[in-house]
Amino acid sequence: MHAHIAAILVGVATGLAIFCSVGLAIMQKALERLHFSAAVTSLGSGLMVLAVWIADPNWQSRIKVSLVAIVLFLMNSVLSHSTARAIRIHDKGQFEPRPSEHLAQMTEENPTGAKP
Amino acid sequence: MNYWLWSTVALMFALLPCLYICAFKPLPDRLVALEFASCIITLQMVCLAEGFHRPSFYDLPLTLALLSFGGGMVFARFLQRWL
Repeated sequence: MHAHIAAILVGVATGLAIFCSVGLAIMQKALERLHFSAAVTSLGSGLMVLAVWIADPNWQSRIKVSLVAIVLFLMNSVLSHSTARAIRIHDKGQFEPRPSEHLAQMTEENPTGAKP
Repeated sequence: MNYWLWSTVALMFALLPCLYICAFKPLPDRLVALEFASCIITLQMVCLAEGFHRPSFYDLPLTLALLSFGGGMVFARFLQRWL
């Protein structure tokens, strides 16, 4: 029974990785592609850890795969942020928003803050 | 062949879009594809270690996860400053 649950979890993680890779290929901009990369890192590695904990009674395997998932989860969030920052600076020349990118102030005449 | 090894084979197909992007797309897209590929290969190594029932093999994905973070940061910094 445990092996079946683990197989389902591994299958879901693999399917998610393939789905995200297709999304990576379909998207047009680098920042859009970054979302798919972050999804497989957090969800895919989490499902793998769950599968190993269910299928393998060896504590060495369990602890090591948990370490791998923690490292992937924590460091990839930092990496995604720094990559997005680098992509914006590469494309726009600066990280801070330009004057044309600022939203208009919310006023009584313009309650949503939308640009006129 | 158990399901861990089949999963490793299936994850190879997730690397094909990364290969295409790294070959034909602009520089920022290549960096994203590289990070995605390193994550997929880490998951593949986890599957291989579990599929072969060798807990000592888990050192490889752990090392790769740590090193891919450093490599990705270096590439991101290069992209930000010089490329």
